[in-house]
Amino acid sequence: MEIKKEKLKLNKEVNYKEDGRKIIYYNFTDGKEVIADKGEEKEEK
Amino acid sequence: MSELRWNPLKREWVIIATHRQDRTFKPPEDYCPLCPTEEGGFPTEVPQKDYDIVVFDNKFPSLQNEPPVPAVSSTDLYKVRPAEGICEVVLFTSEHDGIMSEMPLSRFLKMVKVWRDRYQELGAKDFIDYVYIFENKGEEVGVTLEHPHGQIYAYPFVPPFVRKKQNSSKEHFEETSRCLFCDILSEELERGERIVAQNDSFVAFIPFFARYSYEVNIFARKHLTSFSDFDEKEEKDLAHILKIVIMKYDNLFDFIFPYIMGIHQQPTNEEDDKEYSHFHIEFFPPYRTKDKLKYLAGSEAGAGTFINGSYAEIKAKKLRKTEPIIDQN
Repeated sequence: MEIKKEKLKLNKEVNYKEDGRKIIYYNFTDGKEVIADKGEEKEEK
Repeated sequence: MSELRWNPLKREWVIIATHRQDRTFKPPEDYCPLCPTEEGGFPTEVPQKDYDIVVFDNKFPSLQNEPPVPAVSSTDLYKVRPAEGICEVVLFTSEHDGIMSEMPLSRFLKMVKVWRDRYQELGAKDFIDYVYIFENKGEEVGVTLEHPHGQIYAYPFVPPFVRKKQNSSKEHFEETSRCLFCDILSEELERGERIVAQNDSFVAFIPFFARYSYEVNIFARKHLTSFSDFDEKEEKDLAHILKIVIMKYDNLFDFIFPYIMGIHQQPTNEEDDKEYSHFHIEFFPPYRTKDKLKYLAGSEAGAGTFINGSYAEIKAKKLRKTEPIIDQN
């Protein structure tokens, strides 16, 4: 099992809820990955 | 209300958090507070739908950034202090029924990167001494919300289990100039019989001294103290071995295997402990057979001595032979 894709880039968006609590949305660069042990290709997002 | 109360007998802090009695308890699936808010639906903890991983402050925190004044005063014997700290929830996916072992490897890598970011951000705060990243999985270990999630507790002290291990490692280092975790890993690799899986950067094994039948530890091969020491390859390798261990767990008895998972790293209290702090992960699954749970009873809960009804060598062999089978060399 190996990720073929190059580096994932982390992006974070910090927001605050009405009660003042912090919420952080993490998003990464999209991409394909190959799961070698199953021989199948999956795409996220 | 919340506060920290000192136990002078055990020399440890106890967190009092009375507001946690009111936390959401096993809601129906269509009222999950961890699912994204639907248009016209009830407001959940996550207003946005589009995310890879989301982290937010726990609604019912045991420790708080701005804690209330304790309800009682300290005495010479009974110390009390505000329950200062940070408690966060980490949602691994927006899918309520997501199964970790079936998630693509890239999601595990994203989790590793988010955990790294949280360790660094929380650990940089003056009042945080220890960042503990963990996951409680399954009703058997007390999970009240089904949606796949983990938690982070950023403590204003080094918790007692961690302190005990740090003290042992420090003493070993002073005697031998070697890290105790590195020596344990060398011995496990030399014997080989308790190894469950391994890759270039990490080794998963049931330790010689396991307290639970299927207790798996993951140690970094190199002397990495925390996520901050990881390079890109080590992040990928950690994602890989985590997925392997969780897949093996789920395949072991053909059901989603509950566990408590804890990630341990160098404390962030600026002690000079880099030489004997070692990144490792511990899994504590409650099942000792397919249909029997391990309970903490008299000896475990009352005396602190665990009784493990199985040999680590036999259980490791069983996990090793459970799919996915990977190259052990």
